[in-house]
Parts: sequence; structure tokens; C-alpha cells
Amino acid sequence: MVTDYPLISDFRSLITKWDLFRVFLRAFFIQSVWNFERMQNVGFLYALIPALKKLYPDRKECQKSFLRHLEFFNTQPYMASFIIGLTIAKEEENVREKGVLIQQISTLKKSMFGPLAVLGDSFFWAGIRPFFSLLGSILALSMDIWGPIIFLLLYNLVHLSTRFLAILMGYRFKEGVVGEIKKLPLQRLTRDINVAGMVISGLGLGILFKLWPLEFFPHFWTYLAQVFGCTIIVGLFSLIIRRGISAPLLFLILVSLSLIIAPFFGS
Amino acid sequence: MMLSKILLASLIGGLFSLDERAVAQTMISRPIVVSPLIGFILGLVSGNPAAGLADGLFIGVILELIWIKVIPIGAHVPPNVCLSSTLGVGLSQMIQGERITVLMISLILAVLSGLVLREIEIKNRELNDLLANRILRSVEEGRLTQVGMLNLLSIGITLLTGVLILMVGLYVGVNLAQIVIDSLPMKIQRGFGVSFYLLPLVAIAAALEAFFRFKV
Repeated sequence: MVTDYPLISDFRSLITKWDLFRVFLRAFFIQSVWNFERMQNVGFLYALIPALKKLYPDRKECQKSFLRHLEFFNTQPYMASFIIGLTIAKEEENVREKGVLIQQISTLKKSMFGPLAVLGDSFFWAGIRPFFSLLGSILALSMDIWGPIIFLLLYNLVHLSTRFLAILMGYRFKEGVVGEIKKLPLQRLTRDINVAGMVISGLGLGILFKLWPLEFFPHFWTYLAQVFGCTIIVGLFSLIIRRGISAPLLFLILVSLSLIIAPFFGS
Repeated sequence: MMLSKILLASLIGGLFSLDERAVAQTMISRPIVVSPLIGFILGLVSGNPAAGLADGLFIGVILELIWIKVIPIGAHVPPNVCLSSTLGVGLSQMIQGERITVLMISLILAVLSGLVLREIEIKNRELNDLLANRILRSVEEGRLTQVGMLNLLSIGITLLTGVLILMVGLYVGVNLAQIVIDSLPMKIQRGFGVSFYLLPLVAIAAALEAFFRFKV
């Protein structure tokens, strides 16, 4: 079970809970110096610093450890915490038992950051972030400021617990963290989120009808016609977006067309 | 009052834009959060916070949904949605005119600014290439404390860039938009009314397509 952790700071551990907490806080800066050449390398090192300084009090050894963690690194920023925890555990193993090849740490990082990026991108960037922002937007239509507040609360509940638990899991399970991540039902959740997203989009259309001015719907049949009409328009727009015209471009095209056509209608 | 609004919007927008890449990624930089907040604050300055909040929510929701598929994957640099939405809501609180026209012009400028701001973010990241190489050299020379200091410098540069861009963008945008609104005949401005009611449909279509597209 993910929550079955032994005591993190037992009598043999060099790294304490406080060290891991400091690393957790520094992991929020993993993209501060994001660069095209080596991407998150500086942020990755910056997060590790409290642990490396603890493990390598000798300045030369500390410098060597800094240098080996300035290599290329890029993954989804929250998922990077798994690798950060794992790296700290392997560096600690290197210090305590002197049996870990330094190269093994680099190999483990490289083998993990790609697959974790794919997982993190599809679950967070393409899954829960758009889902919660859609939910917040729809709620904002009827609950005003509570929409954005609910979005932030729900999103960060998942985000912050992922970052925190990821460091602990990486530290506790080391290479075995891959097996633990595989047990998480991320793919099924992403699929369910996609379905829920489509349902909530439809709900949003319903709320819109409630909010539009009543003069749009003087009679029941006008109302029904406009419901069907708008549903068809949404479907049409959706098809246009799927064909490759982005939503911002579609918006600009619609505005331009409206401005061109407007003078020919009304007085 | 306009200058104080520009300064206020620029400082808040610039600070929140750090969340987009440089710090935390808690999504406080998303349009749905930034726009109502800045709308409310600028509305307070004008003496009508409710109207500012309402405009901010409208702009925030629309921008949030039409940019719902914009995601930072790998080396791809997305448009800076925080700065763009700050620009949009800031303009909406400073331009004088009929409400629908003001909101539509603000949205148009916000969407167009996304393209420009993306290029500026790319330049920011190219500057980070220099900083990262500087950090590497410092560590090679044994100056380990430089890692933290240059990290902070990068964050400072990102903040300063955001604030300056917003100040210039808002000042130029307000004046440009006011000229456009004052010179556009009412017959043509009526067209904004049509697209104003079609816009939520575009936003919902964008959201629907976002979930259709990302199949697992």
C-alpha cells in the first residue's frame, strides 16, 4: 500500500524528515531556470541541495555530486518528485554502503523521466487540469467567484499530495517506485475524466440557456428551437476545431465575420 | 487613475505569471483565477468591484476554455495565458465604451497578445540557457552558492519581464483600443453583440473537443 511507510528517519538514515521537507519545498522551483539546452537540470539540482549537502559534507565530494546532477533532465514537474526522492535514496546508499555505482543513479534518472513525463502530461496537463478548470468555469457561470476557488482547491488537493507523496515514495521504494506507480489507476482515471469532461461541457450549455436574456426565448417553441440550434452550433464548432482550426482562431474568425456582416442587418 | 490601475494590474499579473513556469505551477496563473481577481481589484479602484468581478469572470471563463488545450509538453512553449488574460481584464476596466464592445475588444487583444507573449517567453528561456551555463561554470569552479543565487535571479528576470510587458501592453492597448472604439461606427459595433453571444458556444465547443481529443 502506498501509505505503508516505515519510519523515514530510522537510526541508520542520514536523511531526516526535515531534509525531505526542505527538498519538497525546493521542488516547487524545478522549472525556474528551464532552458532549451538541458531543460530542468538546474531546478532538479536546486531541489536536491539540502540532501546533497547533508550527505557530502566534504566540499569536493559535494561539488562532484552537484556536477552529476546538472545533466539533462526533463519531465512533468510534479512527477519529477518521484525521481528526486529516488535520487536522494540512491545517493544515501552510495554514502552508507559505497556499493552504488554513481553511473547507476544517472541511468535510473534517464530511464524514468521520459515515461513519467508521458504519464504526468496525460494525467495532469491533459486530464485533471482541463477537467477542473472546465468545472470551475461552469460553476463560475452560476456561483461566481466560487467557481475559481473550487477549481484551485480541487486541483491543488491532487497536485500537492502528488508532489509530497512522490518524494516519500521515491525515497522509500527506490527503483521499486516504478512498480508502485504502475499500481496507480492513472489510465482509468484519465479515461473517466475525459467522459466526465464531455458531460460537464453539456451541462455548461444547459446553464448558458438559463443565463441568456429571456427576450431570446419569448415562447416555448422558440426556446426549443434555440436549444437545438445552439447544440448544433456547438457540434459544428467542435468539428471545426477538430479539423485543425484552433479555438482562439475560430473566435477571431467569428468576430471578423460578425463585424463584416453586421452593417447589412438592422437599422 | 489609469496609471495606478496599469501599475496595479501589471504588478499582480506579473507576480501571478511566475506560477505559469518559474514557481510552483499551482494554477493561480490560469485565466479563470487571475482575471476575476484583477477585475475585482481594478473595480475596487474605480468604485465598482462587482462590475469588475463580473467582467473578470466573463473574460477569465472565455479565455480559460478557448485555451483549455494549451499544455506545456516537452520543449513546446505555450502562449503565456496569465499575462494575456491580465491584459484582457486590465483593458476591460480602463477602456470607455459600451460594455459588450469593450469586453470583445479586450478579448480580441488578449487572444492576439498570446502570440506575441509566447515569443517573449521563448526569449526568456533562451536567456535561461546563459544562466544555466553560468551555473555550470560556477559549480565547476567550486562556487556552489551561485546555484541558489542565479536561480533567484532567473525568477527575478521573469517577474520583471512580465511586469514591464504588462505596463507597456496596457498603456499602448488602452490608447489603441479607445481610438478603435471611438472611430468604429455603431453599425459595425453591433457585430460585437452577435459574436458576444456566440463566444460561449465556441468556449464550450473547445472544452468538448479537449476531452474528445485526449483519448486513453
